[in-house]
Amino acid sequence: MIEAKDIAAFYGKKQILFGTSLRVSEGERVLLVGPNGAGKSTFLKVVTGLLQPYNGQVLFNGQNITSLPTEKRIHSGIGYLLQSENIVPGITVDENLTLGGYPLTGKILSERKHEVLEIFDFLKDKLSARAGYLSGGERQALAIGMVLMKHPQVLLLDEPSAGLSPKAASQILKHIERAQELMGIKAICMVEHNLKFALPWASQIIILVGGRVVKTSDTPNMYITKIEELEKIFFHGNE
Amino acid sequence: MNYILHLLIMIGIYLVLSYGLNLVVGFGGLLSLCYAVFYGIGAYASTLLMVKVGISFIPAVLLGIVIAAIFAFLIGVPALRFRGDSFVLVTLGIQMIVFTILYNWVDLTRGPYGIPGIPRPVVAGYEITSLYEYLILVGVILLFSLSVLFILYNAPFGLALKALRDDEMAAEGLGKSPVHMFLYAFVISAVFASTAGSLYAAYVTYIDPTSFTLDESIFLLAILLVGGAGNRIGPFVGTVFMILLPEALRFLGLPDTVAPNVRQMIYGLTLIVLMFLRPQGLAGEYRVK
Repeated sequence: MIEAKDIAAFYGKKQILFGTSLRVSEGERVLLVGPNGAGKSTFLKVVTGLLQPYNGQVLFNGQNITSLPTEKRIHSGIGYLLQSENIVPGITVDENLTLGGYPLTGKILSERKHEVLEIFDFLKDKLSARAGYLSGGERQALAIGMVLMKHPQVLLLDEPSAGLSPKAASQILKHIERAQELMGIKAICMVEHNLKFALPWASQIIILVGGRVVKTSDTPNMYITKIEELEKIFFHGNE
Repeated sequence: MNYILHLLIMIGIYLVLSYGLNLVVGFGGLLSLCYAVFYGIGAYASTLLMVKVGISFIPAVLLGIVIAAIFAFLIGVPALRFRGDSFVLVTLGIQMIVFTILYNWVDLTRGPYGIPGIPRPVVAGYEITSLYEYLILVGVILLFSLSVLFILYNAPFGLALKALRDDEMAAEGLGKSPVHMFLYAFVISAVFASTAGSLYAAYVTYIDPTSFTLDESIFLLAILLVGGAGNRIGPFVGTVFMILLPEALRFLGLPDTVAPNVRQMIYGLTLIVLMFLRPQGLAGEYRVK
């Protein structure tokens, strides 16, 4: 579905990705892990077009989308949850969902909202509340709901559990799984630091260190007993 | 009574301006210092069309809108590549260039001599001459402008602008194109500035470039800073406050020799105190950065 080939990317003069290649195929749940500064978020930004790579290609469903602007990539079926604040706190929950679905209007917009609220049913009672007043878990749910409003084929999630309690994080993951079932999302790629929470969910794990893929495995469950070892790799990656 | 009617007319014209600018500054978070350019283009375009081409008021206003929108598009495409301080400087440059053109293109604009004798508006065959009639005309155009702008404020378009203002990358990640959204907002706001410019020109029956200077752009921005940007009530509060405060200061009974300067100082001091006490404006929800 999504393939990135030989991606080299910079922030200013600092190179973050060094010929990184990754593939997320249909039906996969890819967990992208690595130390801080490994280039995980940068990689997602390159895939979504928020950062133009210096070198390399991004393919989506076999089509080269490297030069497409972000909005066209999003409208073509790539859903992206950023690591930072993803909601507009000054407007209501309902307006945030409308914003997520933009430019959808009328019946289609209502249907999409209904679908999203079936997944995040606890938001139903808070539609007219200001999004800024929601709890951390509710905010993240709303942020994911906004991404789902466009019915993405592929979901790219950058640390969906960031700042959440273990219980709230686990709830978010369950909601993501439900969304995948209900909306027919074909593949998910998630960046996550919380390995205990994410490893059981993943079907593939990709370890990124220093802007390079150091390990790809189709059996992420075997790492559950090796979380400390992984953290060691991450530590060395920081050095 | 005429004095009060005059103030109400000026408040009406400035409400069209401030609510239009609110789209760019309050919703888009772009601090524009060239709004008086579109105000001036509207005033000059409709005036020249009426005086030199001989077309009537309404078609002249509509053509003025088209001309201002085209200018806004041409200016917006390069200017909106910038953000923050750079955008402010670019709009400052645009303001200075357009003012210089208006001032020096004497063959077209009569430069510093201005254009006198602008015809009174004729609407549906009826010439608007009295202040009452003019107030009704301004009121009708203001109501129409606010209806359109309030729809835009509440529409997904307005929400998308707010999202881009609060976190451009996050909004872009949701599929909003900053370039397109900001350009639409820039052009739409120019349409309302142009409308206000045409109304102003036909009301005062004389225009010259000094009505559309950087000072005017700063004044319009100050309306939003004082009243509050990014909502429905802020521009109203700012417009009323900024237009009526200097008028209220006239009644302080200051000696004639110092009155104008003291009034200016009190006016300035009030703005400084306001910014300390209410940095988001009197009725604002978003603090312009």
